[in-house]
Amino acid sequence: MSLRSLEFASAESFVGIKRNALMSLASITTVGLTLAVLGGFALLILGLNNTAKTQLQKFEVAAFVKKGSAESAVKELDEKIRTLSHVKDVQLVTADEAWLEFRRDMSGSIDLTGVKHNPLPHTFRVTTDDPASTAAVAAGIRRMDGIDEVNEASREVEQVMRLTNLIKLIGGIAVGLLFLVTAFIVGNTIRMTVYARRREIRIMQLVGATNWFIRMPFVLEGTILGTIGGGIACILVYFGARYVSQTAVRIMPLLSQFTSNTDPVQFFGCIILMGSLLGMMSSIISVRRFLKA
Amino acid sequence: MIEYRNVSVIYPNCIQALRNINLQIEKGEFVFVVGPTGSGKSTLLRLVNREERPTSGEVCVAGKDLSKMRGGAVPRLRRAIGVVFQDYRLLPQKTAAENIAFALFVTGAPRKEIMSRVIESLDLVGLADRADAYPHELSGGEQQRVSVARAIINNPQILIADEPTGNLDPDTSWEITRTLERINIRGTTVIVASHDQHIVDRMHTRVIAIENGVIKRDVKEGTYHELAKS
Repeated sequence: MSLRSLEFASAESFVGIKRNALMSLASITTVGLTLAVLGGFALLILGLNNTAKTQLQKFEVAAFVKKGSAESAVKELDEKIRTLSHVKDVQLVTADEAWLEFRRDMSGSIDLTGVKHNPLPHTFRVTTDDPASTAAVAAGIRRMDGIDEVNEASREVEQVMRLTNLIKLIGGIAVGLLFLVTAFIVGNTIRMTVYARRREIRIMQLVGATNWFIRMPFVLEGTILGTIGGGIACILVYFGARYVSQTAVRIMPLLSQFTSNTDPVQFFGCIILMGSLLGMMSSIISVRRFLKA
Repeated sequence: MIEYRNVSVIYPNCIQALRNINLQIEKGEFVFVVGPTGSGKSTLLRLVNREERPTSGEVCVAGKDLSKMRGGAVPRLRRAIGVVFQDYRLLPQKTAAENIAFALFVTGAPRKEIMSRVIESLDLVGLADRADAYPHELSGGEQQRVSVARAIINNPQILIADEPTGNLDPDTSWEITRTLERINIRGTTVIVASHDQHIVDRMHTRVIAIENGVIKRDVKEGTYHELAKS
């Protein structure tokens, strides 16, 4: 591909976009919406994955001591837990420590100045030597007197993962369908440009222009439409996610712990790249069928 | 140069355009293909640059069997074959020179070379002074000459012209035919499908008469008239 044919292709592709402005706009919009939906789902899935990994897997079993237990009883529990098989480590987080930690984590997102009494119990964070035995360890602790509640991180992780899988499935189907619709609309836009230029194409074919030379302006046109659509999707996802997360945190402050922890440059770069590829592939397919020599 | 071996063409709507054609055209020949509308003249011509493919049989151009040619090799074939149409097929938004240059441009020729060859080509068809005119500013004859200039810009080995004088008055038709003859003298094989009895008779070159997809007559120094007799 010489510089000159690229120059020709880019000039022609902009002419094409201008010539059917309305369809181009429709293409850009559908690409934008499709990728925004994709981006939204991706952000949600990434967030769930990240939360499951970072927040819930800090420890495997959390045992909450009944409120008002004596210090000696707590010490006794500590020793009893250590005697259980497969227990690797037991860490006592006192109510005061837990309260401090909680306030530190929540600073900025919830106003806790009004809360005078520490609502949290003493907590044992128990690590096992084998993730498969977590359930057995948890059951063992649950049977002990003086224990109020036992949380197994693995079960929570599992639940979050199950939710993530469901969202992945729904998102996958929705995005798949939207991709088809988008490919159809972009393909049709390109086909209209091809149709408007059929005389030129015919002449190009007869004087021996290669198929790629003829196709390039249309492929470029589709790529440009897709890329702009990807950019619009980024804007939609950015502001959409900001609005949703702000609203959600206002309603449920604990959600401030929920972050996708993704690199925005990489994430939005991916969306734009997908837009370009979607536009490019749609036009390649649509032009291929039209330009059989 | 061009060889048809047992060529038949049947269109998807079951119309048989050509039936078992066997024909040979040598390098440097000037050939008229004559016959009534729908006889298969255009199909015969369109087989040469692989606009059309035979349903059965073989078409060989310069020793190459076109039905075995890969799609990617077709552009190279077409650069060696100039095409002229009855309706000129010029791009209305481009000047005469730009229309001619376009044919070279899309094949990726260097810019400098394009300029000099466009001028040379316009000179050959006698339109050097109309280079900057748009098609709508040119007469039918002039437009056809532009299209001839475009067809020969790649120095083709073969020139095919499908009713090139169909829309022109007798004098202009003769001029165009003389232009084609000049191109032929330079070594290009020229094949012209024509209705124009006057021109065919006056040129007195090889005439191939087709009727209902079959070659009725192939005469070295023929005339259009014999067709009426036969």
